[in-house]
Amino acid sequence: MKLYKLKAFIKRDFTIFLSYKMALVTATFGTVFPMLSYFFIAKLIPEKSQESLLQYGGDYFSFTLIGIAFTTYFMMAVQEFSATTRRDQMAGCLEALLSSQTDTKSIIFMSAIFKFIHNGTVLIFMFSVSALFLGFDLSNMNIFSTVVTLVLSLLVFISLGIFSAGGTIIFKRGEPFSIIFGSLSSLLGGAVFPIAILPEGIQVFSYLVPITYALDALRLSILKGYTIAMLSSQLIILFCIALILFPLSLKFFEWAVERGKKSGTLMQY
Amino acid sequence: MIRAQKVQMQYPMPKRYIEYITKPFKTNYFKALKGVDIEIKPGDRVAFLGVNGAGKTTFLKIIGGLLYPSSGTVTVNNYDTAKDNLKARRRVGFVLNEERSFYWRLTGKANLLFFGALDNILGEQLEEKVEELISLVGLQDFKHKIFAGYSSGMKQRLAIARGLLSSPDILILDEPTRTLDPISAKDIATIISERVHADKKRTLLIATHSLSEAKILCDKICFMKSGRIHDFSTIREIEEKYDSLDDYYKAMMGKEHQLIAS
Repeated sequence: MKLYKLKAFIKRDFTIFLSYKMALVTATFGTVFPMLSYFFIAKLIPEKSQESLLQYGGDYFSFTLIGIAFTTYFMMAVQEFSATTRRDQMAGCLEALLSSQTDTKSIIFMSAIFKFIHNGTVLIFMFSVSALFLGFDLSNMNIFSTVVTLVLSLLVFISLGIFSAGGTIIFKRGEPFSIIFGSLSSLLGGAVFPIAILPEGIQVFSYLVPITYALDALRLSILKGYTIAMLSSQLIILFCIALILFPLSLKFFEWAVERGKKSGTLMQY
Repeated sequence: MIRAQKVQMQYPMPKRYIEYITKPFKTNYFKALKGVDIEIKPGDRVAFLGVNGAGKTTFLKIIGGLLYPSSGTVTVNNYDTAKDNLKARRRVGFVLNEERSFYWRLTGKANLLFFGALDNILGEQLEEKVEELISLVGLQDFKHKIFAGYSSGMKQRLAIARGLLSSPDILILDEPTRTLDPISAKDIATIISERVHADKKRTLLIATHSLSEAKILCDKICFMKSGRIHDFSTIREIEEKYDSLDDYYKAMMGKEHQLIAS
């Protein structure tokens, strides 16, 4: 992947993004209202009243804010590669991109990069507004372990996203990866509640989805300042999943593109 | 040099409703190419003629590396278009007939700058190349206009400019004047013959339904019928045998033409 190509993709998507003026406003301020809703819902749950919240500091708003913000970001990582493939298929640009002198994998990666930057900016905006006006406490945050957790988690969810893009090339619609790891993840991973309150039978499934480990480690590093050593059990699991899924997803995607080119269905949608 | 050997291509076809129940695991196929063999030399200008569904676009897309053959091989300057896809693609510029293949909210110039970066051109060189091509296709006055505001003729000119960004050895044009009015079509033909083909070393492959376009732009004709190459001759050879290209076309179509005429 070359830097000037990456720059060209970012410039393309930024220019297109700016050309939709209303989207610019809604994308930024649309995040504030759900955040405020959770802020007021949190008022119903007195601080340190829930035992399952105590390990994260006991504040429900902080717990939920991290859960919602990062679940949204990870789901974007799962869905964006597939969404950008489908968008380009439907817009008619995919064929033009694939006839260029850039390999298919790089095209899919770079097509999604702006969304990562944009959603990352929105996430920082949400955290800043919450810290300035809603009492979200970042004073204990361990920046290094947060960044390491985020990078490992992103590797896992990007791998799932690449599987999803391959699925879109094969199935066109209704590919299973984003459904399995999208809607299920926010339930099982405990985006808005600690998984400890789930019935035991369901909790078992929570430990099968990577978002559980990602959110747990992020909450502990942001709210309690846990170090890498203290988060080792979650980070090792995320690392192992990434180590397996990342190369597998790239192979799967390559196979899907080859299959699409051989059957002539690559550009169909 | 382009070399195709025993190239076959089959597409999966939608089943009839009853087959989803009676033969749920069976896939039906449509054979778009049924064993194509051809050798195209550097500098050749070949028009691919034939009715819709004859296999022209499929074959050109295989040469351009956008499709892989089901069997057989195509090499471009000795690179297999399936096995060495990226290396083969570096020699080829593809002018798609799809109007939507640009970003509608970007200007014509911004579109070319983006696709130029994908073709490994950077910095000042890219800026110069884009300006040169915009001027070549006569879009200087419209380069800062967004693509959505372009007419069909302007879109096609921009598509030709994009196809030339990487200064390819081979330029493929898939029905470049299909959606254009006669005047715009003539303009495009002039641009291709007088400016694009100024470099005589460049191979031009054009799928077209226009016999006059084939005569103006090309020196060879590859007539395709039902997924096979029915004839591959120089225009001079054709003119020696037939009174006109119309007569040649009728002769190639044979009984099918009589059916259409009746």
